[in-house]
Amino acid sequence: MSVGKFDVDRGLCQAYGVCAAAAPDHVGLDEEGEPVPRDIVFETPPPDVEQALRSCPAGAAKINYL
Amino acid sequence: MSVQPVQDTRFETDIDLWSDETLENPFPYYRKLRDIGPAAYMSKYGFWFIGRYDVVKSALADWETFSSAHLGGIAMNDGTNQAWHGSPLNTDPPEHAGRRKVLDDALRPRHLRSALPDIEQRAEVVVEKLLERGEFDGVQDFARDLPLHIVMDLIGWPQDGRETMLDWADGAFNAAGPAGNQRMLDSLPRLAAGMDYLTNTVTKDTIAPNSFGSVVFDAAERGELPKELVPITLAGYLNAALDTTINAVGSLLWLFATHPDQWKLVHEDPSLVPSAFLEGVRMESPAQLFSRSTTRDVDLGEGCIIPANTRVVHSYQAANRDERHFVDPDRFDVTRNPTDNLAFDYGTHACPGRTLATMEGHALFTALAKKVRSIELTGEPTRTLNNITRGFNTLPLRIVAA
Repeated sequence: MSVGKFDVDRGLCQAYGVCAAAAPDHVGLDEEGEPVPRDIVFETPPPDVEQALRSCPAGAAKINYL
Repeated sequence: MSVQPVQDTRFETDIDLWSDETLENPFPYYRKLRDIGPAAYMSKYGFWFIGRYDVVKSALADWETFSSAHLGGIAMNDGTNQAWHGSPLNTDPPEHAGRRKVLDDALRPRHLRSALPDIEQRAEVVVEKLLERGEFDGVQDFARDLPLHIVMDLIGWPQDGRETMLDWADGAFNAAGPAGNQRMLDSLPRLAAGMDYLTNTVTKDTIAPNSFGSVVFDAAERGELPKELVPITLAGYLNAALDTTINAVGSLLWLFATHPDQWKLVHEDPSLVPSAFLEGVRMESPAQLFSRSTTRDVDLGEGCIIPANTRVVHSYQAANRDERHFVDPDRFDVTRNPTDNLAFDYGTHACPGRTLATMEGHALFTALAKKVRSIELTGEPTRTLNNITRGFNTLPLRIVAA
């Protein structure tokens, strides 16, 4: 089974900050409000990561499979 | 060429979303509409309606099928769509990106950082003053404060005209209602007055330097924005920076006043404020609905097909109360943290002012959470009925210090 981590498509990201509100363990915001993934690795996306994927209005939240 | 399917009367309804009765309490009507099918045909207007969460979200994501430009725009009548022509609201990709960039260049979080200390400080001052009074109006004295002061300064409006803006903003949203609706007709002079102000009183000489408004004029100077679209681009700030934020704050305050158990949770743990703010806009969405227009026939399943070239009203509020998506959707739960709520729209047209509105909301309710033990109604609140927005006009309250 592959492993993955939360990631952001920078081309789509509009810095709404919703991913960090949904999955604070997996992504934070820097002082400019831009997302900073925390590189937490998982086999299956946990519920908060799935919520972040659903919640991003720009569709920029994704999983980077390693 | 699309074949017009036989009108399936299973999906037809005579519900009027814009009657006084419906606007006062839309939730039972939204439930009926969601239950009719994936979409409902509003025979009174000839519009289709979508209110189920997954249908609304898919539609908002699929701008090619559910266009914001086709049939003129997202308002429910042609006249207002013409007045709003060229606004990012009424534009599809690829032209949308250029219109929208002008707003993003002012409203993206990195541009707002410098305003945060002022916003937080003003919120503390407002709460202190209201604690001294004890009794006040939650809309007139609390919800309107930051939009009418700090945000107007950030936008850079000339002083002349500021006092009338609330009236224009209310008019502009009402003007988006269906043709023939009395509220819509009565609002047209105010829509015109607002546009006149934006065209003739707000100029590159009267807008404050280094303001959100000046970003619009700079974009026009650089040729990034056609000069004739400056007024309609500024209109985004006139409307959306006022009513929507004021409604979000007023409605959340009312929810706390009517759910003291939820206020207790937030007062004891102010880190719940962000979750509570999202729950507030989910429960009482400041902008209830707009519309899109189909560019092709759309099969939504269950035998429900929306024909091409049809206006479809989509309701953020109906989606936000859909039990198919939210457990116990009518329950105000400050721990719910509904990050996927649709009050700020979704996809291409997702609200560019979300960060600013959220900053204001967080500042106000964090200041309240730290200093206020209880919030109670001292009388009947009154609503302003509006074709698009939902919120309170008066909210008589008493707060007690912690």
